[in-house]
Amino acid sequence: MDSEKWAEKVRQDFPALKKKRGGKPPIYFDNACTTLVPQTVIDAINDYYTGFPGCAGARSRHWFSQEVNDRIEGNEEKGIKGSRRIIKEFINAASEKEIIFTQNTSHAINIVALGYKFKPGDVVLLSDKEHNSNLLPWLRLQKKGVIKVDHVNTNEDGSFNLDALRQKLANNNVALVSMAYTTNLTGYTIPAEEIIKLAHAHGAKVLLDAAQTMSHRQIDVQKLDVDFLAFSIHKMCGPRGVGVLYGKRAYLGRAAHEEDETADVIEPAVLGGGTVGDTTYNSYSLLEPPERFEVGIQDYPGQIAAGAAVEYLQNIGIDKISGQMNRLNDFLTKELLKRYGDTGWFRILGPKDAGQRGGILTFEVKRPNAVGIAEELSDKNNVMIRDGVFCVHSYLNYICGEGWLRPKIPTEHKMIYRASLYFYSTIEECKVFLDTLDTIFKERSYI
Amino acid sequence: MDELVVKYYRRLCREGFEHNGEIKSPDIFLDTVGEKIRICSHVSHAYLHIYIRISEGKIEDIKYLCTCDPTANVVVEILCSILKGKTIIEAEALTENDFTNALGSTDDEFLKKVRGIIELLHRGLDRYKAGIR
Repeated sequence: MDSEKWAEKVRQDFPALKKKRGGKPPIYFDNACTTLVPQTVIDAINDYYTGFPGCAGARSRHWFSQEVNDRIEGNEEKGIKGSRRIIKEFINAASEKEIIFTQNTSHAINIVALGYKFKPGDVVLLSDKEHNSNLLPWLRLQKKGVIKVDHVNTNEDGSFNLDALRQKLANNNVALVSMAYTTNLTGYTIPAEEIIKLAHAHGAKVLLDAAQTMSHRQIDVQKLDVDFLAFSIHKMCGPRGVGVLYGKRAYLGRAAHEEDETADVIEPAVLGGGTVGDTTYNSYSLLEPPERFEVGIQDYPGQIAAGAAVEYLQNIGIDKISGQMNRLNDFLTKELLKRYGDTGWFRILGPKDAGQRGGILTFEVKRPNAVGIAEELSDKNNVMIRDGVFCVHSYLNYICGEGWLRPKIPTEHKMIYRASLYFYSTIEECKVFLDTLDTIFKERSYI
Repeated sequence: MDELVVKYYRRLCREGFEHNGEIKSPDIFLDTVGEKIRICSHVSHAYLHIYIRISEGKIEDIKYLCTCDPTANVVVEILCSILKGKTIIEAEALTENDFTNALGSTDDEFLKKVRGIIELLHRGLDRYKAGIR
């Protein structure tokens, strides 16, 4: 089956793609923000609320509770794998106890930031294009005097600068390297394996923000030897509000009561119901991971649907997904460069080679009144892309200069837009996007 | 975008944005963000600042700074061209018709922004009359 026919077939799984507005279908190119949800995932959520809307964990032992537990923790007798094991196998973690459900990637990173036992003088090393999710948790600690934050600058061609990393690791007391595996700004994926080897050689641990990676890249955490991995299920055709923190068992705790005993074990940032083995009026003991990190009533339908989402992606095939994204991005990149060039008012951010940008194509428009193009694309032909600063204020303020968002004269206006594709995107959709963009540029006298 | 808005906007691009600029210590300062009147765009950093100098009851000068879409830019340019030299009473009497007459269009998107800018202007004039800077 050719790629377009294949895409048409998988699109049938997504109810949102069957909607129409003004007689036209949606063209959803905002997948780096959040992905669409297939019917199987929606069904998993519905099943919970309509069939067994109870608590899970050790709280209750009744019928509904068992049904929920089965779908999250698995039940071999019933042949149910359970979401935690599905995710464990998906990233090849050593144990299900290494899979902590969180609200999202930001939450997962904050668990590490707030629980890591830093020593005076410790440095946390970031890339220069971190999403605020992987910047603010560290800046807060720096502000409190707990750590120092440093970053590695990107090469001019948008690639990762391994030499700069070597220098930073050699000359600083780096305790943790925390970086976006794939940047949400340009779609570039860093050479994680080499970075982890270098960091470990210098005694630093590594946290990867894989929010933009998991959707299209097979990750084997044991092969990578990464210490912590954070990601969001909603960027993988899953429910909103569910994320995952993977951590090596040695850093999450191997037994109950261990959190205060080992310098390497991170402390749970939030404590309460569901995290404790026992309490007295004066003391408490914690459960093993992952429970000690999953405080309070959880998003059970979301966690169940997370397993359904991962299974859905596995059935589609990660290679097939990345192949489709690369094919479409290559087409879009070549067409845009052919039409508008890449040296003047129109510029693609990141590596020129679409193969290095996954499904992300971010472009700058430096023309009068450059804002509002995303709205016009949506109004004219239901083409949905993103505009703004993509939560990467720090990098954009650095390269564009402070105040770039408030230019004094219209001729100094510039705006950044991001189209992000997924496996259900099609060439036909890309053509509508290109033609609509062309119309808008012509109306605005940009071309 | 409406054809007549496009035509007007192209002229601005060609001949320059006549009223773009800032007035130091204006008698009336209007800010779409502070007033929560959405004229520019849904982008979070989009904004429109209008500066008005009043002398002897007349609008002596009016300028603006903005990060906004072309339609909003056309609306504010028309506002400036209409208001300059008008009395405060005449400015208060400004209606949608003045804009549609200036552009020759009754485009929905254009008129939505016109209504927003008239509301913004009235708030500024009311504050000025009440002696609030």
